[in-house]
Formats: sequence, C-alpha cells, structure tokens
Amino acid sequence: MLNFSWLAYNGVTFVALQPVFFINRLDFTRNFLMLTDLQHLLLGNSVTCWCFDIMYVGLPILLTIAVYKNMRYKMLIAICTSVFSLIYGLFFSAVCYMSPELFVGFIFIPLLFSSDSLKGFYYYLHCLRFLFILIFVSAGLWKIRQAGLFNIEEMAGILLFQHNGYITSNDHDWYTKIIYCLVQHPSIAYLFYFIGTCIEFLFVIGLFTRKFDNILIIAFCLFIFFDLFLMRINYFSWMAFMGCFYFSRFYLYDNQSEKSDNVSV
Amino acid sequence: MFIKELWTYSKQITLTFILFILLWSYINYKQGAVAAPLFEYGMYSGKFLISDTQRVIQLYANNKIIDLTKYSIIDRDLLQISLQYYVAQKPVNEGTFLTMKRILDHAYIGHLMQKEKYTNNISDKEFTHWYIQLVERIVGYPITNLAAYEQKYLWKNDRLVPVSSLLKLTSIVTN
Repeated sequence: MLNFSWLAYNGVTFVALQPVFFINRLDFTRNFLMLTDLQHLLLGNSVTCWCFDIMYVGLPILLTIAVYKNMRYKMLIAICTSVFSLIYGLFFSAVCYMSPELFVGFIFIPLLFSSDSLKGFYYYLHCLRFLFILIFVSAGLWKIRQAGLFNIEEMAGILLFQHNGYITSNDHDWYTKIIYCLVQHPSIAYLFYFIGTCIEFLFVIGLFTRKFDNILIIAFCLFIFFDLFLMRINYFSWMAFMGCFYFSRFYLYDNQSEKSDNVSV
Repeated sequence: MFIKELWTYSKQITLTFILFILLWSYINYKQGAVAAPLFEYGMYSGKFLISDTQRVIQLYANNKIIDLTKYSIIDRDLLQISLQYYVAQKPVNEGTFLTMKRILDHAYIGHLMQKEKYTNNISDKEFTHWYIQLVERIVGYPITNLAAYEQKYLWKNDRLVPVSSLLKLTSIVTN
C-alpha cells in the first residue's frame, strides 16, 4: 500500500502514465502472456488501466481482510494476489522505466498467506527467506562472474553511466559535486562497490543459522539506503522480505497433547 | 536441516521448492532469457570504465534546456528513460520477437506469436504528443516547443566534456 501510494503520488501507475508504447525483453513469461495481446489493450485504454491499478491495490487489501478474518477463500485470494502482481509487474515494466525485478517482493510475499495452518506459514516463511538469500547472494556471484568486482574503476564507471544526464545538467549541484568527487577518486568509489558486494555475500550466513538475522536486516537496510543515495535506485519494495528475517526468530513447537501448533521463541 | 523438515511437512512443497531453485539456477547459469519470476540479478556486474563514452540525452523545452537536477528521481527517470525506451523499442521489440519465436518454436507454440502483437503501432507524432504531456506534467508549465538531442561525453581533466556535436533525435516531431 505504501509503495503503491508512493508510485501513485509520483504519477507512476497505469492510470497516471496512460502509456502509448511498450518495450519487450527476453522473458518467457512475459512473451507468453503477450500472446493475449494485453499489452495493446493497456496502451491508451483508460478503462483497462483503471482495472489494473484497482486490482493491484485492491487484491492486497482483500488479502489483508481475508487473513485478519481468517476467511475460507484466503488461500485463493493469496494466490490470485501473487499471480496478478506478476502480471502487473511484467506489463508495467514494459511501459515504464521500472524493472520487473522490483516487483519480486510483491509476487512472493502474498504466497505466505496461502497456507491454511501456522505450520504451513512457518515453512513458507522460511522458504521465502531462503529464496531471498539465494537471490541476494547471486547478485554478488554475478559481480565475480562478470568481473565487475575485479575492476578498480567499476563504481566510478557505473556512477558516470548512471548519472551522466544529471551531472551534465548542472555543474554546481551538490549531488553533481559528490559524483564528480567519487569519480575523481575511483578507489574510494570502488570501496562502496566492494562493501555492497560483501553485504550480498554476508547473507550466506543466513543459510546456516538464524542467529544473525537482525544483523542481516540492518545490513540490507544499509544496502538499500546507499543504493538509493549513490545509484538513485529504489529497492524499498524488497524490504517486504525482511519480514521473513524478522519472524525467523520464532520456532515451531508441536504439542501433541493439544493437537495444535504452538510457536515459541 | 530445513529441507528435511520441509520434506516431513509436505513432499509436494519440498519438490516445488527444489524445482524452483534448480530452474532459477539454470536460468542464471545459461544467461540470456529469463522466465519471471525467475530473474537474473546481475545488474551492474559487467565492466564499467571511466573512459567509456557516455551518451547523454538533453531535453530542450521552449528552447531552454531542462535542468534535470531540479526534479525528483522518479521524474528524471520518466523524462529520460521514456525517451530512451521509445528510441530503442522498434529494434528491441523486433529482435526479441524473432529470438523468442525461435525458442518457442522448439516448444511448438512459436506459431502462436504474431508480429503485430509484439510490436508497437505508434507513430513519432503520437509519441511526441504523449511525451509533451508527460514533460508538461513534470516541469509544471506549458510547452510549445520540445526537442531532444543526444551528445557524446568523455571523462577528461576530471570532468565530463562533450566530444561530439548535438545530434537531434527525430523521434520528437517538432511542429
């Protein structure tokens, strides 16, 4: 809700954009969904855009109500929310600058609530936690695979690529001066890149123990803060995964005499 | 071990989970096409150098350059990336269509892909009309004349300096 409100405030929804073209990418799921020609239906069609935006915000609200009231169709609503988030994310990223990876949190988190028992919720939570760790660590592995990590000019080059339009607009802007300073000192800039990669690899600890999950949450918050400040990329939507790390402190406890699941720290 | 506990809870969930991870690992190993929500997270992993040529798009509204530093992150991205994407969409969409069709032909569903569904019908004039409305919303004043230019920059003497003349982007149709 918070994320959608932020996007709506900034005019980044289907209704606000009223897109007139799309750009494709090599994605099987997206190209399969495009067989429906939904992409053309969304272009300049106010009604379809409204429907998409309303469903995108409405389904999570419905899911929240369903979970709170423990409704019978909670599982179905959770799966629908997840599937629709995927569809919305894929088509929205085709008409807007936002990449589909930003929607990953909204695609997976609703699945937590598709469980019909506390035990199921516990296991789904840990599956998502595990998945996030793999995703985040893989980002670090890519930096080794594509050799970005071994290039001392990496961060300086990235900053120039990412901000070239900004820094050539205004030489006197404070942020321009910061970028210029970092590019003029590539080793210092590289330090940020290296620390970011270390944070990505730090999450490997989470595969073996939950003891440091609080530290991982703090590390991730630092990561997205610096990502936003230095790269001007907003990964706030991934904060949803931190709920999996926060609630990992609870263990499952089976009490056979009560025939129900109790959760204890 | 978590996988063992998960197996005890539900064999189907465990197999789905393991299959998901294996597919995701395969996609990351192969590189290239993804299958949402199985994505690759290799952004900014390739080599970037200070000496790389920077292609900068500059917008002129009412014959005055738009200072991007005055606008929010989202507004800047909308201004710049919408135009970049429009310029790139025709060759990218055609290339993607041909590549995906070739791949999906192996699954016998490539024949379902029709080119008209995977390409845009929009003209430069229609795009310009939409883009001007977007720019007006962001800058907050009416625009009677909009132009976009591309210029190459290089890092020299601790600054980005232009190394080419302004190249007008014809995607923006002027009156």
